[in-house]
Amino acid sequence: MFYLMRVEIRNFRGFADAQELKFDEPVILLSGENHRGKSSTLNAVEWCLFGGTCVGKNTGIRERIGWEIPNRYVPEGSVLVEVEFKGPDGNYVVTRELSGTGRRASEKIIVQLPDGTKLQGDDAEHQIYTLFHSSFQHFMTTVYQHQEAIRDTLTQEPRNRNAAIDRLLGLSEYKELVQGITDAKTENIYRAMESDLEIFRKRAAEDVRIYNKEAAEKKKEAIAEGMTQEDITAQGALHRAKVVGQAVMSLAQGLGLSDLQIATPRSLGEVAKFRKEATERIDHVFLQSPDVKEQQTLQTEQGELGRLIGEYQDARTATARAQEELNEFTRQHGDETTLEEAAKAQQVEITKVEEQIHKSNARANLVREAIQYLKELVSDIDRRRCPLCGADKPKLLDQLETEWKEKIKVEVSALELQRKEHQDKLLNLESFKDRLKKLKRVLLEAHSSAEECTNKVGAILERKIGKHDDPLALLNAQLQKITLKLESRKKALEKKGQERIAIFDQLAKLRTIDDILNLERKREVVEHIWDTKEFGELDKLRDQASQFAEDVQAIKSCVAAASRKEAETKISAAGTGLDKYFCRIANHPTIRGLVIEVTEDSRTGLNSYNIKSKDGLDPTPILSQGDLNCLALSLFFGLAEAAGGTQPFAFLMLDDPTQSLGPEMKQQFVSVLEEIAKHRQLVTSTPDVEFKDLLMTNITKSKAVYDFLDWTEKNGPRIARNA
Amino acid sequence: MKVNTFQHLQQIRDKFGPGLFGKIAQKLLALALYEAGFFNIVEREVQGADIDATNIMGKKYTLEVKTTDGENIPISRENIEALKDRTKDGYSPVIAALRMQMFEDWVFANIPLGNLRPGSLPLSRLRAYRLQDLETSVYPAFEIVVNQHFSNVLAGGEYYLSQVLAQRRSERN
Repeated sequence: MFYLMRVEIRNFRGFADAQELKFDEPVILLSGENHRGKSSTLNAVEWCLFGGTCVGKNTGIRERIGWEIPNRYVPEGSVLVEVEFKGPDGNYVVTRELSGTGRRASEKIIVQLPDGTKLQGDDAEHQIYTLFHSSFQHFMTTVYQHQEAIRDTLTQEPRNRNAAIDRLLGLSEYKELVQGITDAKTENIYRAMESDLEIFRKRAAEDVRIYNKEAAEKKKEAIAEGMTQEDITAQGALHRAKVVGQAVMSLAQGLGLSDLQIATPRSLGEVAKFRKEATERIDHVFLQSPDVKEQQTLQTEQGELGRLIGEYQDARTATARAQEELNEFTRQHGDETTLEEAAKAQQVEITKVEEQIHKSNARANLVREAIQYLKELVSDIDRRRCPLCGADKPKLLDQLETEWKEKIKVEVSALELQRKEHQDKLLNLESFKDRLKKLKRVLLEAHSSAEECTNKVGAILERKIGKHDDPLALLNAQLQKITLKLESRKKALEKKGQERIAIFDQLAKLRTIDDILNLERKREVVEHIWDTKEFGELDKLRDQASQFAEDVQAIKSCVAAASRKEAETKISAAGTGLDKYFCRIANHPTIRGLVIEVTEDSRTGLNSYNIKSKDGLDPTPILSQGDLNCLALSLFFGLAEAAGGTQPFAFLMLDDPTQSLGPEMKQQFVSVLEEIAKHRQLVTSTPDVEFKDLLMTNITKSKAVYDFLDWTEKNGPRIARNA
Repeated sequence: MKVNTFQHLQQIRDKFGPGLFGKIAQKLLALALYEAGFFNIVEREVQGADIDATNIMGKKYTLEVKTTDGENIPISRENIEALKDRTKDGYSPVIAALRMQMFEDWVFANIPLGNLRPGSLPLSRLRAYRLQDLETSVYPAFEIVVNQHFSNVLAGGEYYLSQVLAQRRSERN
């Protein structure tokens, strides 16, 4: 067995400069307040032995996730932990060094054998394993009691407590495996695949449903229209196509096109093309046949004649109306000469009246100025004299004003009225002349149009239209001739048209059959997917995926079963110690012994631990935090004791073991330690002064105490050794 | 399964309801096993495994027949016990499940009885244990049987199939 002799620590977690602690007594106590480096000292031993395996999630210790090895306050300098063990054949020194951080970190391991030989790297790791036959998990459950393990046990929440007991039993790897398999949710990949296929299947089923429905509806209609089930088959469709092809050719011959050929379909896939071709050919045959062409020519001529008749009639009507309007105008207002003479007469009259107005105006001016002159005179005497002859004319002003009002004004007004009348008459006559000119122009234009129309008639009838010909009668005669011809053609074509309609009817039926068969074919295509090689392969993949999911589940069950089996074995082995230590430390007034049973958690597959008192009752509702700590310690001691025979390590490391223990429990705990110390070296760390005192007083083996006095970022812990 | 066959089954189920349809499907499957060349066929209406059958190579199967619309089938303790019971006589236990959806077909699975728990069993789990040979021989036979007896089943239901099965049994004897 191996005893701890010495540990040297540099830059490891809370440590800075290298410090050496000698573990040269049976009992070593690391004492001091929290955050002074006590746990780091114990951790250093563990890291020295197991390196990276005691770091991270796989340890099962939550605090070890992202655990920092180098002292974060000493960025430079490598980490070094050196532990000296005393073995049966001499001393072994294990040195582990870590330099760099992150991806650049490199670890060096050296084991110095008693003869001074130094092994490095894999050889050193191999030597450690050969010497100690211990894994980190085993070390954690039987040598080094972690305070985290105790802390996690101090919970009433079954899931967390189960995990903590798993950890105490060193089964975290199993738990992680089971949890990892559960979290990987591999069955979800298979479920997603199945879900996608289910969506595809539903879509295909929906397509089939629609094709079936449409085909059934069309079939029903087709049968209602006289088709039989036999008609609605591929053979039926091909037979009908053949009949239609023959009918088209027969129609073509009947219409004078003997060279028409149409290929009938040989398979159902050609039916659609045939239908299109047949439809186009029928139209072509009709449009290109001589009878139809002549009919079209006659219809064109008929239309042209009709239009020309209308045009000619319009021209004739316009001419007659223009002539009538001219005659009526002339009758009312006279011809151009009459109107010219009347205008001249009016002009003479206007001249005469204007001369009279001029004369009257000369005298009027004279009288008006005299009245003005007399009115402006101030003296009445002057007003009584004639301003021309100077004769005395006392009433001259009155006479002049009377003459102005009664004679001159009336005369001029009458003359101006006369002039106005003559001017109006003259204007009317000018207007009549213009209107007469316009009417003559309109008449001329109407004649011109009628002549143009007559020329057109001549052109369309291909003959000269003489003076004595009636173009309208000629046109009507020609129109009648064409109408008769058209009637004759129409009758001739009516029979062919019926044949054409019959072919179109057959083509429509052929289309219905083709549509129904197409829908059925589409359905078959969808249905065929399930018979394809690719779908067969997919089906195999689905089976394999299912097999994979089942296998994963089986592996998970196996791992869980192995975990359970190992738990049962360990609990069974530790059972006596567990019960003994729990009874001694807890000294519970009602619980006179504990047993732990392990079962499978049906939901997670993980271990579920049932703690029972010996009377079969569940004690957990009445277990205190201290009791739970006792349970954790008892389990640890039980396991350590169970491993005693094969255990390579002769020491136990206890990290803050008295959490939540009352004074009496501490007393009991120390008495247990006293017993253990008889055959095991003990290394205990504690901030608990009461526990320290109890230990110092009651442990009979010689002791060394390291007081962790304080701690600084620069120097790490300040440690003093006391005997 | 062909769409036509599925549609026939659908019509049968629509007429008789899911409960009776399960029994009809079981009888149709028994007939399909005859059609596929199996012998010593026992079809049970009440207690025990639903169908026992032996193939031409002498391999004995005992079938628990389940039909469902969904993605799970109910497995009872009695079902498991019935299968387990037949294994004593050398029969391989098989779950025969038909999901009544278009493009689905019978799944024959010899899922280990130790893996079976009473409750709802996802059909997807059966895939890992499919008996391809059994499926390959039964699929076409089932199509034939359904299409052959469809009209009569629609008219006579389970009773008609019981008579046909009795006749097949007597022919074999």
